[in-house]
Formats: sequence, C-alpha cells, structure tokens
Amino acid sequence: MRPKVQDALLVLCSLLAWSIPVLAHHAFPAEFDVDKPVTLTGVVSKLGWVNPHVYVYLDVKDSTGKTTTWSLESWPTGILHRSGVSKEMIKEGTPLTILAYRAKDGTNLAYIRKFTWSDGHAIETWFGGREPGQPQ
Amino acid sequence: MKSRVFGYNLTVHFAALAAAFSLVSGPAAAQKMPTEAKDTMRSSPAPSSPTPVSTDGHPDLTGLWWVYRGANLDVRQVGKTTVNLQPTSRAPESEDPENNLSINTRIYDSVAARRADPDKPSYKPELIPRVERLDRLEAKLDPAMHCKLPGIVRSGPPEQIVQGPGVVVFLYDSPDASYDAFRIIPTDGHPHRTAEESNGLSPSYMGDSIGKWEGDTLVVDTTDFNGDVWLGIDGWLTSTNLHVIERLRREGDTLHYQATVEDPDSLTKPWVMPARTLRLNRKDSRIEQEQPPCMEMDSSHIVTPEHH
Repeated sequence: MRPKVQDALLVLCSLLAWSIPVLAHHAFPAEFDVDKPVTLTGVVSKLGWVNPHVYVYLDVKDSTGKTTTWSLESWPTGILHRSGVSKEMIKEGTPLTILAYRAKDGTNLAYIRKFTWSDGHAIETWFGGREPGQPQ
Repeated sequence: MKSRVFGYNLTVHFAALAAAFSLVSGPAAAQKMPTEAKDTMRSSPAPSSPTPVSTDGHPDLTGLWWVYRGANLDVRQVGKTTVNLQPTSRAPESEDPENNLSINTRIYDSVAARRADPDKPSYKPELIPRVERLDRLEAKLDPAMHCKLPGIVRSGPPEQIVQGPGVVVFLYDSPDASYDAFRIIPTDGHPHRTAEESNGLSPSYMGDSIGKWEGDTLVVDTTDFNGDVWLGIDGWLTSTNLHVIERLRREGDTLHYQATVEDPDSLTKPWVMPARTLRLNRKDSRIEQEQPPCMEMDSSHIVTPEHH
C-alpha cells in the first residue's frame, strides 16, 4: 500500500472517530485550536515530566536568530510513556520537530500531536477527532 | 498528585499495609451496613477458573484488576511514524471486558449522552442550578482538574487488591497515571473511626472505609468525606454526608463491582452507579509506580467552557 493511501486511511479513521477530542484532564477545544497547527523545530530546553500533562519546553530559533521558548503540552506521563515516548527520548538538549495545535489565548503554548526526532522517526500521539480544516 | 497529597511513595503504601495487618485485630463492634444495596452482580456465566479462597475462608480478591495498559491504544505504523490513537469511545463492557476502563467518569460518552442519562444522580431541586453551574465551569472548577483526588466513587473500582485476614487494601492508579491512591479497609468487624480515633485527621476524598463479608460478597461502607468529591465530571457535587456502599464479588478471573451512593443532603434518592465487570490481569505483575508530581498549568489558558 502506498504511503499516500495509508495517510488518507488514517485521516478517514480519525474522522470516523469521535468528534470531540478527549483528553484525560481537560477538553481540548477549551484551550487549543485544532485549526491552528504549528510545526516547530528546536531543542528541548526543559522537560516537565509531570501530571496531569507532560510539558516539553522547546527553544525555537527564527530566521533572524531570535530564540522563542514554546510550552508544548502532551498526554499525562503514563499515557505518553505507553505511547512509546519515554522521558529519555525528550530530555533536555534533544533536537525535535513537533507538530502541535496552538492555544486559543495566543500564548506560545500548543498541544503536541507528533514528535519527530532528528533521525526521521516519529511518534504521533493523538486521540482522533476533527482534523484541521474540517467542519465543526 | 500523589506526592503533594500523601507525600510518600508506594513503599509507604506497603508499610501502611503491614501496619494495617497489625492494627485490625482490635475489638469488634457493631457495623452500620447498608441493607438496601441491590445485588445485580449475579448474571454472568460460569467462571472460567475457580475462585481462590483466602486463609480465613473468604473469596480472595487479591489481584491486578487493571487491563487498561496498552489495551486501548490503536497503534499503526506509517512509514517511519508510529501513530498511537488513544481510545475515543468507551468499549461496551459486555462485549469486550478487556477494554473495560477502570474509571467511572464516563468521559468517553458525550456530554449530551450523560446529561440525558435517566440513571444519573438525582439532585435536590434547590441544588440543580449549582450543579449546572459547576457543569458549565467544570474546566475551571472540577477538583480533579486541580490535582485533587477524584475520590470514591469517581475513581471506580481499584486497580489492584491485596487481601489478608481481617483487612483488604485497595490500590488505585488512574489510567492516565495522573494520580494514585490507596484505601486500607478492615474486615474484622472494626467500626468506622470515631472523632477521637481520627485524632484531628480531616475528612478526605477517599473517606473512611470498613468492610464485611456477606456470603461471597465483600461489602465496603465508606463515610467521612470532605464535601469536595464529585461523583462524575458533570458537576455532580456531594456533601460531607456522602455515604458509599460498594459491593465486590469475585467469580474466577472476573470481579463484579457495584456502588451505591447515598447523600441525603444532595440527592433525592440513592444513586446506583452502573455496575462494572473487571477481568483479572495476568499479564502485568503490579500497577505502575513512577508517581511523578502533579502540577496543574492549564487553568489560566482555558478560554472556552467545553468539557468532556
């Protein structure tokens, strides 16, 4: 099966899943906007391996060399670990590219959907629900 | 949560367990026990394996009754990407007990479905506006949102049970590992603790529990709650007069769990929580014990009122 077909099937499966994303702690749409995806590449400056949500603090440099620290939220520790992301894999100093959805309040906070490491392998930790651009 | 609330780790849990074994030999006293709890736990087919018996002749509930770990992950590989889709719908327990989540919040049902549920707790008319307000503002006001224990019965059945003569210990480790908790439940006729025995201890989210055997069913009676326990995510408040009766019965590798909630200050009638059926987990040897701290950092970023 070609990757494009697989990707399309994945999106379809996601659409068939629940319409409201489920987080264990709070409701996703109360805080984040699925229509505002952002892809960030940087280096982990700090890891908050805490509950109810893990926080990855990512230092991201823009084209002028200015560094912005993003707070990137993920699952609780237990679920993230079971999803294949250990704290060792996202420890301070780790280069990462992260696909996330921005907070509605406009701060540099976003909810992580996909971790991609520098060797190209990636782990997507998601809960289905509405995809960006899809109707409410 | 665990470190902030209890301040000790699972090593202490088992120290407490050892202490409990030594303490529960006190004088037996009359227990206030429920008489009206419905027994709807006898509809399953014959057990697949014999029910173990403890040294005191009662069914032995000891075991890991948590099958969540990994069971609900929908994992796919797309090129170099591993995709983990978390559960987005609650698996019907009767169809797939392996996917029976050990939580009672029914967060995997839609809000609308829960609000329309005729079997939800029935609140006194004067409290309904308050419940509705808490429901609306759940994202900001839910105690469990702020690193507090969800309490009994929102925690659901225990993930692990350790049973000894005259005592049963319930261990909790939430599916998302955001909290853990334990209860030490004397089953030797010990009464609820008195004010003197509390020695200044505050009422809690888990309350004070005592147990007794009614035939092959363990009946656990819990009082002394702190009034900050929600029965579910939809603003289902309780008072300090909350009284919970749980019934647990083992059939081979199956554990039947049912809870009845009484709160005359809040409810118009007792609420019988939907019964749960759990299967013994033989794949794992223990619940997870990492116990990272709980630090709530979302509240200040929540801008709209949606909740699960």
